[in-house]
Amino acid sequence: MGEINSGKPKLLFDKIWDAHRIATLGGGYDLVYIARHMLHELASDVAFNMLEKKTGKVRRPELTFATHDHVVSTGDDRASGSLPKYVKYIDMLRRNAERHQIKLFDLEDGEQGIVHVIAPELGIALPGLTFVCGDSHTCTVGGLGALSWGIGTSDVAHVLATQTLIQRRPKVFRVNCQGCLGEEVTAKDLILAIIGEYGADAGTGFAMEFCGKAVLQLSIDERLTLCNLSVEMGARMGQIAPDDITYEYLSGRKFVPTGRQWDQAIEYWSGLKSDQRALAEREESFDVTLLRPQITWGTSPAHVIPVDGVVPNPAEKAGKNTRAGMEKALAYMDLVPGQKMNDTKVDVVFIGSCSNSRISDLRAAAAVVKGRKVSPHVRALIVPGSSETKRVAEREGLDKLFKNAGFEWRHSGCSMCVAVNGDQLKEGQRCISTSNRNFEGRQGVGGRTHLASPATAAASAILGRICDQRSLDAVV
Amino acid sequence: MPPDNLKRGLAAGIAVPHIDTDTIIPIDYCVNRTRPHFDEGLFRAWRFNSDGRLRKDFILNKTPYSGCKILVVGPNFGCGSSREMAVWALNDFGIFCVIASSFGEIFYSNCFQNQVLAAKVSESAAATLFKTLDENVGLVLDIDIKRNLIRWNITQSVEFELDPLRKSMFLQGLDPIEATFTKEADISRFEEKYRATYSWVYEKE
Repeated sequence: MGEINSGKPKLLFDKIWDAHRIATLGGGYDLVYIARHMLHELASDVAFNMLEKKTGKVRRPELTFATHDHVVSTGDDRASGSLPKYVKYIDMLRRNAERHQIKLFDLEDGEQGIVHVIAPELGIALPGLTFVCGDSHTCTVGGLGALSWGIGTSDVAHVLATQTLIQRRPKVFRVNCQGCLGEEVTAKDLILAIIGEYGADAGTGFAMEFCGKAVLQLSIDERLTLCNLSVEMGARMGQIAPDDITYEYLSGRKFVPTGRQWDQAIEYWSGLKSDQRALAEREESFDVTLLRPQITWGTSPAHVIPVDGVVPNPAEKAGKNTRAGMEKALAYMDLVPGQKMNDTKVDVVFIGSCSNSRISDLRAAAAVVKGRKVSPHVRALIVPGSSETKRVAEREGLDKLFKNAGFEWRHSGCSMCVAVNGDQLKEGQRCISTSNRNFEGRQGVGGRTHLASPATAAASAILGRICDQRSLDAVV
Repeated sequence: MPPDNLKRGLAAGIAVPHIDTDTIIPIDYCVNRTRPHFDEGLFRAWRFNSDGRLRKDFILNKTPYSGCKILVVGPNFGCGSSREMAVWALNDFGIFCVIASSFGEIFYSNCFQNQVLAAKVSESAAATLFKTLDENVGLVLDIDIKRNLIRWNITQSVEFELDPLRKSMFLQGLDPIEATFTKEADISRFEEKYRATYSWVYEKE
């Protein structure tokens, strides 16, 4: 822990990793301490069964927090409204949390929400701390400067039993985002463009660090969005160094330290920037100046183009694998090379998920929707990321604005991103979604997903076809 | 029982890049079942029509590949969701080894939690394997774990990568949680120091 101030220049990642390294296991593996662990209903019951076969005891229940998000209905009926076969997962988490004295944010508590949305909102995720959860989008809270990553069920049991993980130390891939984003361009557009540029597996074996002027200007909500999709480029972790914007965001939140402890935390956090002379294993410079709103056309988050672009032609791409993947994606998405994305009709618009369901996302969508109506053939849903986000939005009158425009205003949960709670696409439906995965069948068997920002999704809901905010403004 | 150093099995190739864990097992098949029944969901949309009939065009539904034990797949296999059920689905189907030039990281780590060997090969080795599988129906591969070799037809082989820690845990059939329990003294010592430095991690004053 004293290593933070030692002579060798270190990256943000190194500082946090080294502060949590218990032992070196050889071959690049370390035993690392886990400061924060979050559970959700879908990935925890088997882990508790595995724990039973070991000690049966959670080593540090005070460092573990739980909520329901994946299977809960986003309709008024919540638990009972979910698909019958999933309801038992809610009960099992309740029982396990009670038995092991784990803090559970239950459906009626007012603090329930998507794990990656409530972890920052409540100050459970904090800069400089290791944070894991049985969900691949745990990289989201790296936006606060936490070192966070998603784990499988066996590792959830490992953390419950030992408060540690056996983890290979990743390399670091740093993307220096230079220039300033245009006013119509969001953090979602930025990360989609980065994935498109470097590829869906460029981050494999790496922890991402995002830095540079364009990143420093982002709000915490936007930083969370940026880090959320790190895993879509193959990186388990994504990080942004904490700064005054981070501290201002955290100050006063429920689980954030106060008084003398806040001062101690700030002292630690303020040392967490990557040292000037420290170099990552891969360094890239990404100029954001001319970036336009982005949308995915295929079945990988790397299949991305500007919203006003055309569907690419696999024949023009290098590499047999790339071509084969593109051809398969085009067939699944029912698109042809050269087709304008702008002309493509949509059936469903989903604004929600751990990528884009925070209050600033809802405000951005509302700004587009105000005074307009959802196209008659479109089903459009707004799903706030947490119960608190929903309350704040309602205080601002956003619920009325959305409902008047023809949107469904739902309760918080993973909803149509994971599609195990009653919200899902029907076969063949085309959806603009603010979520993070456009894989085959992800939003329902045979469903077709286009990933985009809340502003683009909202604009597309109005016109009933894919468009960004600028082309909407030109029409209505 | 620790796995043997040598494993042999019929191999099938699926040369599609970026096969995500939603494709390996859709979320609906991840719930309300126990091992060894996750295979029902394996490549569900590719293996079955929507009415539950087997799709004839999919390799795992063709003779002799319906009994395959080894899969050779495109790069970034198992990207996406952290669901460990993806490994359970493969293993419950009978697959004990997956070969690719790269893997989604969480999937890769989940494989070794379940004694499924994820064998990383070079891109050219993967291309050789796909070509060989195309040319030899019913090819059987020998996996020599100790020597990091995938062999066939007696004389031919490609190397795979496996770091020493995973290899030794794999060969000994060592459970990671049990391995960590042996480090309890280290953990307690670390925790005491960590707590003294970062008291705010544990409780608000």
